[in-house]
Amino acid sequence: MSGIAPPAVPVFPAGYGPLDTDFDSWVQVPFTFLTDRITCRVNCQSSQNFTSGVTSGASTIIHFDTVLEDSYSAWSNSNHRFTAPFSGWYQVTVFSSIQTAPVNLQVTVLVSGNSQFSTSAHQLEGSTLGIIGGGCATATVYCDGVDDFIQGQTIITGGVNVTNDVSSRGRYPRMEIVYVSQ
Amino acid sequence: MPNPGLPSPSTYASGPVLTPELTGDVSNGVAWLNVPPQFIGMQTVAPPQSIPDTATTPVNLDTEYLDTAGGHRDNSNQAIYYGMYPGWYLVETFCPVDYTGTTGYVTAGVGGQIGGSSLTNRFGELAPFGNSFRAGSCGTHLVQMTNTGNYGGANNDYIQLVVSQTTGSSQNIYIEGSNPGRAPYMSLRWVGLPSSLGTANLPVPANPAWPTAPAYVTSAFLNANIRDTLNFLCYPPMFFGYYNASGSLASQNQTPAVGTAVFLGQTQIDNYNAYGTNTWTAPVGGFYYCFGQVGLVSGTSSQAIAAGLTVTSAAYGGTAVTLWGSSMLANNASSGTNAAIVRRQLRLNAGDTIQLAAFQNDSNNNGRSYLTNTSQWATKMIIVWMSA
Repeated sequence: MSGIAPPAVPVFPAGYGPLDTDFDSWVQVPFTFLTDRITCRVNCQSSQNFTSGVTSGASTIIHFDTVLEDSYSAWSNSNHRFTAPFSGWYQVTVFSSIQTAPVNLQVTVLVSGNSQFSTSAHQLEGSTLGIIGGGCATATVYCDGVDDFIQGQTIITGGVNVTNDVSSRGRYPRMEIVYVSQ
Repeated sequence: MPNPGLPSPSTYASGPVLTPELTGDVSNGVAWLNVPPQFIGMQTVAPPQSIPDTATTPVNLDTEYLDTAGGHRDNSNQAIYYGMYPGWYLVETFCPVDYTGTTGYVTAGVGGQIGGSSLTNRFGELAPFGNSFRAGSCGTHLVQMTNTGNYGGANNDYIQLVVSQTTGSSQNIYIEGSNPGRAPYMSLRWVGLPSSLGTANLPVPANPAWPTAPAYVTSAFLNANIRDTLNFLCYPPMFFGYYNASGSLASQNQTPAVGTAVFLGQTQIDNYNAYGTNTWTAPVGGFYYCFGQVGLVSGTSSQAIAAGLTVTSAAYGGTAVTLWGSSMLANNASSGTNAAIVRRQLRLNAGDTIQLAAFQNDSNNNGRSYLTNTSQWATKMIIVWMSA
């Protein structure tokens, strides 16, 4: 059962002779949503070049291009974003990888273009060894259904022509989203 | 309906089912799971809070985005979230500091009080300063609160966002006005009943259609599709383990395809008995929140550190692969601390496995000792079932 909306709290009227279909709507449907929530997983398997700022930092929407799961058909590959099918709070996790260092890296979650919280902000090693860097962000964000959309964002400073790293499965930039509450 | 209470579903016997019983179980359970105890707070109001050097400091959260259980006030006790309902809470934290020099680091995480005693601070990443960059530290923790419901009570459990910085002098919290939006942040959400109340080892609810005449509803059907459904959703598979041995991690030149596995010998919760010999095995299929942290002793030749999750699952290519997280510059203080994190939400089938993986690079090829459960930057892994 997919595509169902976040449930209303069911009311069981006394003195009413329910049919099986009544119990489906009172029990089966809400429990189904609460068991099998809105989910989406995407990754990026293509090289993406991030521009680099010096002081303020250059921001780049992560071009996730591969859909691994999208239970409510909410993902757009052309816009690289998840449009919330229903209003509510969504748990978002984002990972971004960087091929070239040294840089400072921030990874953020955006809702309708606005940064919610920059939840990864650190330096990467690379001055002598060139160790590939990465950052993880997470945020629980509120979206108005149909209107709001979620994206991942990478912000780097200190490097030139920095690209992501898609050399192996473990390095693919990824984003995962699950509906958690109304 | 009134504010829902902690779900405690009935066991149904043969005979009439009264509406109060259904209301108490189904209506209450749906209301609770729709809107569980949840809090999101930030510090956004100027002037920013000053953080003394090397003093772990609770962060005032002056802006509430969500507080469904009323555990926080934005005009008093701003640094405290009081537990209002017992259970396990998934806590996520982030805190940046307004410093662009090259000395020291920032680290942030969870502090508070549990059972009347101070909770050992549990920090996340340790982010060194440098490169004219206002670094921030992020982390995740899973904590059980049981003394709850009495806001402001002396023995009521509470959680705080705490931060420490080692620049040599006091620094302000960093509140970035607009995109990007670096600012202190704590999010917490109830994810399960206390261990003393939960029922484990249940299957993922099937939620079938209700019987159609001439078939009829039996007590077995009610127990499977109301009681057990609520019991599963209110106490899903959860794991939290710490490293508690005395080993060290060898230096490597680059994060490998499959990282060095870490055995987590001290369990805080493993309600489905899923962990053994450095591997967690998914007891049921689902969408899991997974967090890993690697803490290491630092040295003057420390260069880089990373944490990863090694997943073996058809959903991730079928063969073991380490999904690396924050692969970052290491703190190179002598006999100091390093910590890196990884965070993902993974689709797993029953039987799929996850290991915590670690990486460090040392310019003198030295091994680095793991930080154990007694450290504020303890090596750990947390896994929570989120959805089918």
